[in-house]
Amino acid sequence: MIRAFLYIFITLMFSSCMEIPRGMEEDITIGDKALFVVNQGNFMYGNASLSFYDPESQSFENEIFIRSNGVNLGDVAHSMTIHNGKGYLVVNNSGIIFIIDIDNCRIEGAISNLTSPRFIYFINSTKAYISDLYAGKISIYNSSEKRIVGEISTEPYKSSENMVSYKDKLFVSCWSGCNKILVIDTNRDEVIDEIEVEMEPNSMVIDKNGKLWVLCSNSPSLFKIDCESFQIEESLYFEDGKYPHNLSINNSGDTLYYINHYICKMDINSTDIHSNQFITSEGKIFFALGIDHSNGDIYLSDAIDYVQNGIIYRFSNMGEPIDTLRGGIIPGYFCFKTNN
Amino acid sequence: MRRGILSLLISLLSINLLLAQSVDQVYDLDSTVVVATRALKEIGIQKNSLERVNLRDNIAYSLSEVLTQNSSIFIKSYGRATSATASLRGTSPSHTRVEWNGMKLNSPMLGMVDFSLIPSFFIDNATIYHGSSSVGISSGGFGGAISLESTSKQNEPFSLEVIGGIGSFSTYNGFLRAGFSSERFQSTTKVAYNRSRNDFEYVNYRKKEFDFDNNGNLVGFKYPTEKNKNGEYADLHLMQELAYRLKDDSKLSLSAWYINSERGVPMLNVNYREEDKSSNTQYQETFRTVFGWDKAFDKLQIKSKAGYDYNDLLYLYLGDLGDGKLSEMTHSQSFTHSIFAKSNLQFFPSPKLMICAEISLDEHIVKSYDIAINSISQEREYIGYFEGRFESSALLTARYRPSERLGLALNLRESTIGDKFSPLLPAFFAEYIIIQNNRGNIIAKSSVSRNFRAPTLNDLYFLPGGNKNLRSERGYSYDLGFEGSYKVDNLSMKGELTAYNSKINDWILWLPTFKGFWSPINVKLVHSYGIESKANMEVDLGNGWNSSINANFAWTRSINHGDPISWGDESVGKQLVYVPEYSASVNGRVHWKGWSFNYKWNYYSERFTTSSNSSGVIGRLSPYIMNDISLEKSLSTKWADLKFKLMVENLFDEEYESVLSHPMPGRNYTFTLSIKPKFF
Repeated sequence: MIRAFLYIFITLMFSSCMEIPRGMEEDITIGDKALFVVNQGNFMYGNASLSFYDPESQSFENEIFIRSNGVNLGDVAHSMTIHNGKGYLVVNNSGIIFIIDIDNCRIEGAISNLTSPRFIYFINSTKAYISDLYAGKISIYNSSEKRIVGEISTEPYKSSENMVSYKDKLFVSCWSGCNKILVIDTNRDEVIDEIEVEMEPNSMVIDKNGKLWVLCSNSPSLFKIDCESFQIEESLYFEDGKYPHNLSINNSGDTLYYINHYICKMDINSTDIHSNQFITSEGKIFFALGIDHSNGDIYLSDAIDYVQNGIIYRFSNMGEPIDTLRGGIIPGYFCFKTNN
Repeated sequence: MRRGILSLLISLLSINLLLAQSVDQVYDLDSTVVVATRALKEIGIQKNSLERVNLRDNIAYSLSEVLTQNSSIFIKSYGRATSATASLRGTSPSHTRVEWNGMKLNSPMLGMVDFSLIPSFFIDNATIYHGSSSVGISSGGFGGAISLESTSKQNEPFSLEVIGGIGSFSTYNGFLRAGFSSERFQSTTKVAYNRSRNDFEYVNYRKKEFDFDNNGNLVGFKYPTEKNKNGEYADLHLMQELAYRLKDDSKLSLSAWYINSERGVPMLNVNYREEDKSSNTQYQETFRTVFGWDKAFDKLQIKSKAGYDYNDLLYLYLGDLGDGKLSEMTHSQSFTHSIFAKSNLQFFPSPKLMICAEISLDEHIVKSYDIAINSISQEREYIGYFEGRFESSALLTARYRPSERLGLALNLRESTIGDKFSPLLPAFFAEYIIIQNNRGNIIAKSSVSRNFRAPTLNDLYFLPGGNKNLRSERGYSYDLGFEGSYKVDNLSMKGELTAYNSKINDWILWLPTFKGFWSPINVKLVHSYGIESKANMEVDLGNGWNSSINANFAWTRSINHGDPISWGDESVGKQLVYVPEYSASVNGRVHWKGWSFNYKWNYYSERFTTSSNSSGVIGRLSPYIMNDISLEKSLSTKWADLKFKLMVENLFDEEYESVLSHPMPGRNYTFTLSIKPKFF
C-alpha cells in the first residue's frame, strides 16, 4: 500500500503538461489577391488574431499571425494598412504596430512605444500618420527611416481616429467623447482648422467630387463636407437610438455603404438615409464592413456573442451572397491585398 | 401568501425573543444539537471544512490559494495578489455566496467576492457548502456558499504570536495576533501587512524581441525574459474581535475588519509598452463590523447579528501622453455602504427535531462613477449611478430524524429584492445511514432545491450598459451522494462522492455590444452537472511519525443550453468559458518530532476562452499542475515557542497562465519565523 502511494506521489510530482504555444513558424503563402481579416479579440484577453481569405479559390485560414510567427498578435488588433508590399497591423492595447510581409505574414519590423494606436495612414511613399485613442497627438512615421520622426498635437482633443486625405490636407476624426474633425496641412504638419460635427464621428470617406462624408454614432448623423472650404454642405440625421457605423465607399467614389442595423447603400447625390436598405440582417448583427475595390464585393462580419469566432459574409456588389466564413474573435477590420 | 409567511416568521421570532428573556437556565449547546452520531443541522448537507492547519499554512496566502490547494473550486486568478474569483460547480463567481461572521461579503455592486483580499490567517473556520446545501446560508448560491468565521476564542489568558516572512520578488509579510482572555471577556487583535515588488521574471512566449540592424531591418529575435510589470502591492489588514459573556450567560460579540490595499494591475504579457509609460492601480479601503448577541436556553438558541460594510474601490489608469508625465486616463470609483440585521432562532422540541427560523434585512447603497474629461468643454464629467436597494429574506427550516438512521430536512425561503418578491424557495434534504458500526459508517445523502439570484446593482444601473429589464436567475438543483468513514487503530479514512445536476434559467451574462461597451442580458439556460469527491486519510506510523493526506477531485460540465443568438452561434451545447472540466488537489503532510513536511499538488484541465470552445491556438488555456512544498520545524524554549518554515511554490517552475495573457510566477521561496512568547 505504501508502495502504491509512493508511486502515485512520484507520478504526480513529475507530471507536467503546461504548454504555451511557442516557436511555431509555419510557412504560409498568401496569393497576390487576398483579404486580411483583423480580428480584434477581447479587451484585456490578448486574443486578437489575423485571418486571410483568397477570394478566387475561396480558401480561408485563421490565426495566421501566431502560426507564422510563433507569437500572439496581442490585445485588440484595430486596423491594418498595406503600403509598398508591407502590412501595418495596429494592435491598440499592446501599443504596437507590427510590420509584416504580406506574402507570408512574417514579421519584418515593428513600431512600438505607442500609447493607444488606432490607424496608420500613408500620405506618400514614406510618410505616415498614426492616430491614437488617448495620446492627444498624431505620430509621424517615416518608413524609410523606420522610426517615428515627429508628432502633431491634437490638444485639447485627446482622441484621434480615422484619417483620410485630400490633396495636401489630412482629415482626422476625434471620435472618443468628441465631435470634431481636425484638418492638418501635410506639408507643415500642423492643425490648420477644425470642423464641428456631432458626437463620436466614427468613420469617414472622400467621394469622387472631393466631398468628405462623416458618419457620427452618438446623435446619429451623416455629414457632407467640402474638402476645400471645410464647409458642411449636408447634415442628415438618423432616428434616435440608431447606431450607424462603418462608412465605406466603392472604388469609383460614387456610392456610400454603411451599417445601420442593415447594410445601407446610398448614392453620393442622394440625401435619403431612411430608405436605402441594401442587405437585410435577418438575425445577424453586422459589426464591420469592407468593400473590395477590385470588384465591388462586400464583406461583412457578425461578432455573434463577441466571445466566439465571428462570421464573415461575402456578397457581390449586387448584394448576392457568395461565401460564408468563420473568422476569429470579433472580426473588426478588412484589409485588401491587390495586384496593384 | 408570501406576506403571510413573512409575518408569521416575524411573529415567531418576536415571541421567542420574549420567551428568551424569561428563561434563565443555560444548557450546553453541543449536547442539545447532537443526536446519536450525526448532528441534526448536518442532515443531507454536502460540505467541506478547510482544516485550520491549511488556513494557517502561509502568512502570504489569501483564501484564494487555500481554496485552490484544498478544494475542487476553480479559482480564476489574474496573477499574484490580483483579483481571484471562485467558480464552484462550473457556475459564475457571483453564484458562490460568501459570508463572514454572518455578514454577506458578495459585493452588491458586482455580486462576486475577491478572495485575494481575504488573508487566510484571519479566518478561523471556513466551510464550503456545495449546491443545495448553501440555501441555509443564503439564496443565490447556485454553485454553493462559503461560510467564514473569525473568533476571539482562545485558551490562554494572554497570547501573542508574531510572524515575519520574507520571500522572492522582494516580498515581505508580517502578522501579529494578540489575545486576552478572562472569565467573561475575550479579545483578539490581528494585524497583517503584506507588500511586494512582485516583479517576478518569466520567459515571455507570447512575445518576441526583435533585433534590427542599423538600417532598421529585422535580423533576429528571441523570446524575452521579462519582469512582471506594474504588479507592486501593499495590503494592510486589521481585525479586532471582542466577546463578552453577560451574567445571564448570553454572549455579546464585536468583529471589526479594516482593509487598506494598493495594488498594481499587472500589464498583460502581450503589452509592448514600457512600464514607466503607464500606471494602473487599484486602491481599496474597506471597513466591516458585525455586532452579535447569542443566547442559549434549554431547547432554544438565538443568534442575532447586525453590521455595517463600507467599500471604497478606486481604479486609476495613468498614461504618458508624450510629454513624459503620467496623466489620468481612467478614473473609476465606487462607494458601497451596506447595513444588515439578522436573527436566527433554533428550537429543539425533542432530540429528534429541530426547527429554525431566520430573518435577515439588508440595505445597500452604491455610488459608482467614471470620471471623463469632456474633450469639448475640458471639464470633468461624472458618468455613473447612485442607487440603493433594500433586501429581506426569511427562512424556515425543520430537521427531523425519525429513526437513528434516517434524517429529513425541509427549508423554505422567501426573499424580497427592492419591491419584488422572490419565488418561494423550497429545499428538501434526506440522508440514510446505510452502515454504522464501531469501525465507521456509510451514509447516503440527497437533496433537491429551488434557487434564485437577483441582478446586482451594476447589472441594472451601470453606465453605460446597465439593463433595468433583466430578470432574476432561477434554477433547480439535485444532489445525490455517499459519505463514508473507516477507522482502525492507527488509520482513519473518510471519503465522499457526490453527483449533482442543476439547471439555471435566465443566466445573466455581460457581453460586449457593437456600441463598444458591455451590457448584461438574460441569455442562457445553463445545465451544470458533474461529480465531486474528496478523501482524507490519517495514519499513525509509529515512532513519532504520523501522516495525513487530503484529496479532492471534480468533474464539472457546465453547458450552455440557451437559444442561439443567431444561426451562426456555436456556443450552444458547449462548456462555459474558464470552467475546467477536471480539477483536482492533493495535500499531503508528514510529521515527526516537531518537523512537518507538506506537499501540495493541484491540477486544472484545459479551459476554453471562447464560448464556442473553438479549437484554435488562442482559444484555450493549457492544463496546468502546481506543486508546492514546505518544511517546518517547531521548537519550544523556556520563553517562547518558535516555528521556522521554508516554502517553495511552483516547485517545477511551470510556465502557465490561469487567465489569458496574465503572467504567473515561476518557482519562488518564502521563509517565515513564528514566535509565540510564553507569558507564564
